[in-house]
Amino acid sequence: MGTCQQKEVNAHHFDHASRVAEKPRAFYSQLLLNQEIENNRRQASPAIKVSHLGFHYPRWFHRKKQDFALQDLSFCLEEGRCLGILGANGSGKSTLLSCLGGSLIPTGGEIQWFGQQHLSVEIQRKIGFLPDAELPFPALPAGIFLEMTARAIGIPKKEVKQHCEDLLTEFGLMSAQKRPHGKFSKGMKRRLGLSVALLLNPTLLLLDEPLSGMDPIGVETIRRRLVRHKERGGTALVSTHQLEEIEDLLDRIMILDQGRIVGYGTVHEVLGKEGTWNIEIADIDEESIQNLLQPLLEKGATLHTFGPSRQALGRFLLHLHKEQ
Amino acid sequence: MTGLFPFSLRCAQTLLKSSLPLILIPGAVLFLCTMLQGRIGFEGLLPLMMFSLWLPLPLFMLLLRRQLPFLGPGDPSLAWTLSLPVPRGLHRLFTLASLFGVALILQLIVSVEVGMGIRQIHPKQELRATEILSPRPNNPPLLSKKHPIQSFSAPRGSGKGILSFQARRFLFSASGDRVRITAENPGNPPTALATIRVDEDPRRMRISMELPPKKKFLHFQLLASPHGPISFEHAPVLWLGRPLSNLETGGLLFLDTLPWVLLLVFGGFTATSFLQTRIFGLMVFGLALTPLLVPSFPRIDLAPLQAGGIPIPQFGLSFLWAFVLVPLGLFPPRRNGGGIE
Repeated sequence: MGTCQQKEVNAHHFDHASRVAEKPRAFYSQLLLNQEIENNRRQASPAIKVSHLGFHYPRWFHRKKQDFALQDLSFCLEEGRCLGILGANGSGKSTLLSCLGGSLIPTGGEIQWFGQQHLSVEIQRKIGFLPDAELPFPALPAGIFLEMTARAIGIPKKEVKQHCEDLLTEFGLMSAQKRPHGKFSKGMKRRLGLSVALLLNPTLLLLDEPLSGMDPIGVETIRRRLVRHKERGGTALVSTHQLEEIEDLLDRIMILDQGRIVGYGTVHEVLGKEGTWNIEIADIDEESIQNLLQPLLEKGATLHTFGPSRQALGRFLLHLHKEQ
Repeated sequence: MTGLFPFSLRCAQTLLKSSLPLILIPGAVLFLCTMLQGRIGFEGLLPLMMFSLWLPLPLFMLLLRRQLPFLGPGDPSLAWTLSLPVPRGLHRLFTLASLFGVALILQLIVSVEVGMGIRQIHPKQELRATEILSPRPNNPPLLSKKHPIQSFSAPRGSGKGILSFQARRFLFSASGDRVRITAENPGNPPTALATIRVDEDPRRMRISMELPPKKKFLHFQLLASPHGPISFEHAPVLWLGRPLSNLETGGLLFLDTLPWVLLLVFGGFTATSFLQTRIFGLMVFGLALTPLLVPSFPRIDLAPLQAGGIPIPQFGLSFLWAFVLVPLGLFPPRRNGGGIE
């Protein structure tokens, strides 16, 4: 799917560019600039290329067909892009990320990291992997744990303290750095895990459920980090169940079901086919919004939910945090 | 690479902390032995005390997977470890170094405790360094008028000591046999050390003597036997050297168990890379039973202990086989998401 998808994407781009050329130059100058950046991205070499990837967990006494966690997965993720992986529980998201992160060896197919088939330590240093795993040494204070990990992965001793403090501050763990990380809440553990993954300022992020257990402040922190990562030209592969939180950052999403790709494209392309839309409207009273919805309902649309935005709570907490 | 030292120290600290309760085992067993002392004799209590020398290390190895949950398949932090950009072999080497260090410390502490315990329950409350004198290969099976001499290697130590015999494999027909003991260095005339009247119960025979230095062999020569030939064949002849302090006793016991410690630590660590936790536990206890299952494996013989002596280990370089397990242990864990269940 990787190279094929790229051709498809390039074809779409040329078509779009020819349409753009007919419009006045001044109007599109900024757009063309954006497209140039986009072109550069498209011409970039793949950060990850997966061909016919398969994986099944070992069973010693019976090996059934449904034990396959991944089946014939092929895709390509160019440098500078951000791919979201969605799917139900057990669909293979974590297994895929574990294969990409090197903690599982595929039983079939091939993975290339930055053009290399072997995941060497040098390549690993470019990858920040947040696995869905517990951190060891739970009795160790978070700050010391982070510093120990930083030393272990080769960050110079004199830089370790400052670097770790920056990360702990960024992820809101500075005040908790002296507490044993085993006593952290789930969200705090994920933040510490992210700090570990980001120790080497990696160019490729593999994040397995980074938003799991996060409060709105944590979500916002991760969002900000992902935005910065993208601005720097970094690549990211994020599995999540909370698409709405980061969908604007994702260039593509991939939907997995029983280890197979069942959807691939932009959020609009993949989810738009379902014919279900979500709009969020601000600064309007309830009567006006009802008037606004009336024509839609008259056209036969079905209203699934109506009420104050759920994201408002997140924003409220974030506002509270900023005030503090 | 030096960055892995703090990691290794943390591993050691975690393991040491978790193994602290294990050093209470010999104390608890000693308490039990003291309670039973009136009803059971020293020979009966000795295996119980020795059990407390055996038990802590397998338990420590069982704790290993819980305390360092990144060593093998199925461990909850394995993915975290594998995600670190560190050479995996090096990572395991540093972990193994910390594990080995802590295992040695634990076994040394336990050995000292057990040594103190054995002294406590020993009737004379005195323990001596002991050598088992090995018979020369051309020894006659029986001491008789036709073959009156049997030879044994001389103890490495010299000076004052006690020669003791183990009853198990002696065949004494009756008392009254007289045996002369001489020490010899080839090329020099033998030195007479003692002449003994063989008792009916050789366990009671403890011959105090002063051994001259640089002697290679001890000869046992039958002088007179009113009852016919007597056998020394395969009989452990013990040389009980000078009395030992508690620390020395512990040190000797520790050295005696060193081949076993090496096997358990290096073998167990190697097993972590492909075994799931549950089967790993079985494997650890299987390894811990090696001295019983493999007769040629260097182990502590109870015979000298029963005579109140702590055997001086004689394994030489024979335990170097254990270090073959080190490179095997450096293989990274299986990354098939399972491991042997």
